[in-house]
Amino acid sequence: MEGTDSGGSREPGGRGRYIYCVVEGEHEDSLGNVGVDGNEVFTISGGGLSAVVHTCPAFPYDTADREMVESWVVSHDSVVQMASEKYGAVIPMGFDTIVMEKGGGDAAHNVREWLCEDKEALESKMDRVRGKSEYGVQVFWDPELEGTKIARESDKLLELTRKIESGSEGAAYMYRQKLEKELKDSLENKATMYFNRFYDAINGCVDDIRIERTKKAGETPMLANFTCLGTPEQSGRLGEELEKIESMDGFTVKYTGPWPAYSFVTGG
Amino acid sequence: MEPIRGTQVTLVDLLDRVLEKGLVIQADLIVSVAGIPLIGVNLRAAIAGMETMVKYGLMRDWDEAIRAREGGRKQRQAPALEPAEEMMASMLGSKHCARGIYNTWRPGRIFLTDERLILYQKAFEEVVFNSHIEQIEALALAGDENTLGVDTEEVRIILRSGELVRIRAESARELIENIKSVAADMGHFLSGEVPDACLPRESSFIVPGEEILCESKMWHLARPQGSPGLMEQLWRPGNLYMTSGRLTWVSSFDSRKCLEVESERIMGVTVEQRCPSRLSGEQMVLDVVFENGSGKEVASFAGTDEKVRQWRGVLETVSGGEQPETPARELESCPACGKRDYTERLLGRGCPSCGWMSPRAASREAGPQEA
Repeated sequence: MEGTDSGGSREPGGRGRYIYCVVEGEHEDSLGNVGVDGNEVFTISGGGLSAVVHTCPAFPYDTADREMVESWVVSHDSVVQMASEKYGAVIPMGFDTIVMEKGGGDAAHNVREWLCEDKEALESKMDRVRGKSEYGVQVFWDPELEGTKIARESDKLLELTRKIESGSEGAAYMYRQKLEKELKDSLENKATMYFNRFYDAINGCVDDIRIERTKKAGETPMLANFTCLGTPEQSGRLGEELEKIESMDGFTVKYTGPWPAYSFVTGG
Repeated sequence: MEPIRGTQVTLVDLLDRVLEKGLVIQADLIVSVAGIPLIGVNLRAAIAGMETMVKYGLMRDWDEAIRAREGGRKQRQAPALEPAEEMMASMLGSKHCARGIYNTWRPGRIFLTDERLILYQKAFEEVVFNSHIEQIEALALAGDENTLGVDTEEVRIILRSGELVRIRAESARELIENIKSVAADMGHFLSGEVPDACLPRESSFIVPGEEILCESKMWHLARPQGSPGLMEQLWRPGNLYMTSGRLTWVSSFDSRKCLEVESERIMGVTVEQRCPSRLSGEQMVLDVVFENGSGKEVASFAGTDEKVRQWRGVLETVSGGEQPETPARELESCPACGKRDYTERLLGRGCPSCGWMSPRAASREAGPQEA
């Protein structure tokens, strides 16, 4: 099937256009049946740009089936990656971005119009991400190990420990409370110190960095969660910095990517 | 340190990005309700549970990955074999996985050992299919149309459990010969006949002996009871089946039988051009009127003009060509007894079941009151 989109069909099955990403240049291509749910992916162009799409019903893909979600998301991302390989700079969309018919125009027409009207904003986003990819950096640490180190090295804590051991029971209880609070404060300070150190080190390697929410991790807690935007060369330097962190006692780094720049194109 | 992607460990990172990030287009152009872009409601639920699950395993997997790597993650190219197991053949292939309308062929590499048949997906280090040769009862070659309409050879396997497995392979014939020879070596007999009754259908609810007269992909209008949610009028995709005994519609999202009406209860059918929902334009809609035990009910379907016309023909025959009275658009429940009936009748003449009347109707009946 040719890449030209002749407009929405009469079936409810065809009123929407599922958008994967926007690329530069006006193309009329078909990428084949590589899309979400095996749909044929093709391009719709306008304003010197092209949207990579597939035809779908005018409502979102939805399921409670985990595996199905995974499969759809993987398909979505692989289409974006494919488009990136084929066309260069790419602005990725999130899942379920479906343009529908509205205001007298069918979905394909609306996609074209959107590309033309938003041309400037889109091109500026394109410039921002050209030649770069997104990388995820998560640093995990072992607070227990850190706590032990602090206890050994801090004079204040050593002093409190001595007082607990040598004092009366009542006094011991009070000193134990103090010790715990002191330890907690020290640990928090340590955490902040590490975080800032890692942030600076990573920030120095890449074009842009975002601080993400740390998630409740499994066995070891997450200390920092960053998303970075950088060139392949920058990613190499970043890797070197991360090796240094990884080599620290009790620290583990999860370095993922390269991803299309999902996090750096958000916003209207 | 090299960045990684495309493994089970990074799947959660990918999900985070694709489901939460990406460029947002202005709300009035995209599928949304009240300006809020709609993401599948169930999607979030599906991944919420999974996130926790993956995270707890995360560090174990990660630890392994980190220790095992050497300047880059090496994905396992092939599945792990038993100590004495020998690899016999390997080729690209895929296995059919059915989930209602969303059928997929999961791709990977087929490995045949001297003991098992495996389909392995390198990208996620996942074993898609794994069966001991002895578990295979029957094996046959079949032709099928793939999504591009091209004939593809397919290997159909019946396992001892009764399960039907469909596999496409680079060379289906070669694979079958190889499996047969492995089976022969282990003294295991394979039948070359895969019975027709095992032919894959989403319609697993079909009773043996029941004949399917007509079947097509049709959209069904689900009117959720109770308080209207985000989508009071929700069209869902699925398959409509007319068999000798009943009319059934199965949802593609969850393969549930959402509608089932015995043929005798079908009273009639009309076709109308209308705008079924806010999200669509004018559509040919098929309204099937049937008895639901306490009155009449209408089920609406939509599809291509051609299909709608075809179904009208089928259903008119089934219902004995009787033309029903024009089905009312609105069906309501009587506030007193809950009986379902047309709004007009409930409000106009009262409930035929319990005699409830709306205040207005009651005062009309009673005649002009004294001031």
